[in-house]
Amino acid sequence: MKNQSLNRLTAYVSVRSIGKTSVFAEKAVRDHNHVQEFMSEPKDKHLVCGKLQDMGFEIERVSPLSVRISGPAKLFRKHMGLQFARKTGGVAPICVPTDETAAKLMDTSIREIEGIAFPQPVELHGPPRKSPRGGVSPTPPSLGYHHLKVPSDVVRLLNARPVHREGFNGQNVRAAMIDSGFHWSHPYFVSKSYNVKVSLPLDSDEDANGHGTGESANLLAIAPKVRLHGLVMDDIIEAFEVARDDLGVQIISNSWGSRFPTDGPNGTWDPYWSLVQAQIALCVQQGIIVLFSGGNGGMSFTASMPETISVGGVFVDENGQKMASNYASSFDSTRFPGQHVPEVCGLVGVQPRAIYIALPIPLGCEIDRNLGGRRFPNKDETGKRDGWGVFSGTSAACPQAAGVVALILSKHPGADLAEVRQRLNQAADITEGESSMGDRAGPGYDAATGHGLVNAEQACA
Amino acid sequence: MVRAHIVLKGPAGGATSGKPVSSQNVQGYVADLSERERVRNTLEKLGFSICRVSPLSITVEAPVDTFETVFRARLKQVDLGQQRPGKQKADQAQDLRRQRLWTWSEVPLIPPEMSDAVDTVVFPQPTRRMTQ
Repeated sequence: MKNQSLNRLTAYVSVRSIGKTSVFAEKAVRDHNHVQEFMSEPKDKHLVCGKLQDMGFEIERVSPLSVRISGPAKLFRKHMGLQFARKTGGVAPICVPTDETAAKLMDTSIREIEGIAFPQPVELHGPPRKSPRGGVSPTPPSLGYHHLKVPSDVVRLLNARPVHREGFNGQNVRAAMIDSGFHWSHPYFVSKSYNVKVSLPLDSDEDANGHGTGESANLLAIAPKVRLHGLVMDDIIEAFEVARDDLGVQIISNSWGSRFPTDGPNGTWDPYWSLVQAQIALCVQQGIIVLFSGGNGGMSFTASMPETISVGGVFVDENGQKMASNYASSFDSTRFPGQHVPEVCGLVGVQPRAIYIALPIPLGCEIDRNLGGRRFPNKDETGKRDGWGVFSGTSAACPQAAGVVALILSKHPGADLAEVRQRLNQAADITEGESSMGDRAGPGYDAATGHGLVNAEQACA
Repeated sequence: MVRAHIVLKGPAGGATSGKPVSSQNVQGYVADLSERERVRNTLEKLGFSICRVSPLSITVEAPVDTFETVFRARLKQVDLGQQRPGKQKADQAQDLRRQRLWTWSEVPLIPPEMSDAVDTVVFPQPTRRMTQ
């Protein structure tokens, strides 16, 4: 069975049995001679399946002794009053009802149901399973090409060290990232004792893709004492609502955009994006600083909205030379005339795949498997199952800038969007290179890099 | 099960009405608390599971036929794999296969008992992560 998560829990339902006793009752099943008593009439099973489906559960399997169902934790909470916690100590972490609600297992609103049970942790009775190469390392593997490490290189190149030395590390600031997931039990994060919590879904440690996990290391490198909430982007509307209405965060970092263009000459629109735009506007109206990745060759309205801060890309080579990243987007908005992307920049690699920053990711996740292997610049030359990947994109730049915003707010707690923008725009001027759209960098503000590479010391002065 | 957002109307109408929305005017699209509850109760009676009620919209889940029956319009599922232009990159392709997109085949009709409080029904659109 797949590991249980709060997004999808599996349970077994005991339908009214011929012997009128649930198979889950303690000591109910004595031996094979009486097991028939725990089977159910087909019409009762059919009735129960219909009622459970109406509640929103999926029927996975109907078998002689039980019906296997699945659904998110909130359905179990709503219809059965169950709360869940993670249990370890077996093969894999598993979600089971808390001790307080376990008593409700035999008490449901469908009278044809005699009981419900959830899988419990098991252990294998064989040779101990060794993690590949003795476990995930808290530090990245050695690599033979120019790349950056977190936190040291990101801190150095964005000039955050002086701010940290002054005592400002993002403390007393609440930030959120909306992304694929957050595997913060990775040894890298654990070794740093970051103040992090996955708030949607609550306490989930899953990140099948690895993007959110890796990119969050950028934000935490710059603002190591920030209180960072991870919100999975299964439902973006819900993520914004939770960040704003439930958590009261001050910063929201978004390393994503619309899949298809929603700005520029090829931009199309769906009313859904109007609702997203309104959600963002409500965040800004309540004083939240919202940052978006500028894009990697595409045009998304999320970056060009007047009230979001768009973050583009600057590459720093092995000699310390800074230039516009040819991987990052730059464009004049057609949806919001007068708006240009990017406003400022973070660190982004270059074509073909922006393999640039070594970031911690879940072992064997999609990024681990897809980027791992030979040879640079098309692969990152890490293992396919080592818990490290080397990547960037404006996905990295946005949380870096968000980290600088956290530093600003920790030193200047009353700063509003206008002041934060003014401070962020005290950036390192970039005069070389061109963006993926061919805009050239030059002295002062330019179309490729906006105000330039964010500079934490200047921003916090 | 399909998830959608029921867009509520505020004093200025619904946020999807096409007028520009900013922090300066967004409060005009925030629905009154009592109206949110009224719409919520109506939706529950119509067979929707309520996931979340918020100032601008109500997130619901229901089977396809519930949407089609209540809003008297057909849904269709869009195959994102074929829609995607350009070269497939492995992680984005896997991502698209995971994201299911629904859309209306025709304009949905808001039932009379909520038409004064509901602007429209929208479905999540595909996103892309800015790594590749």
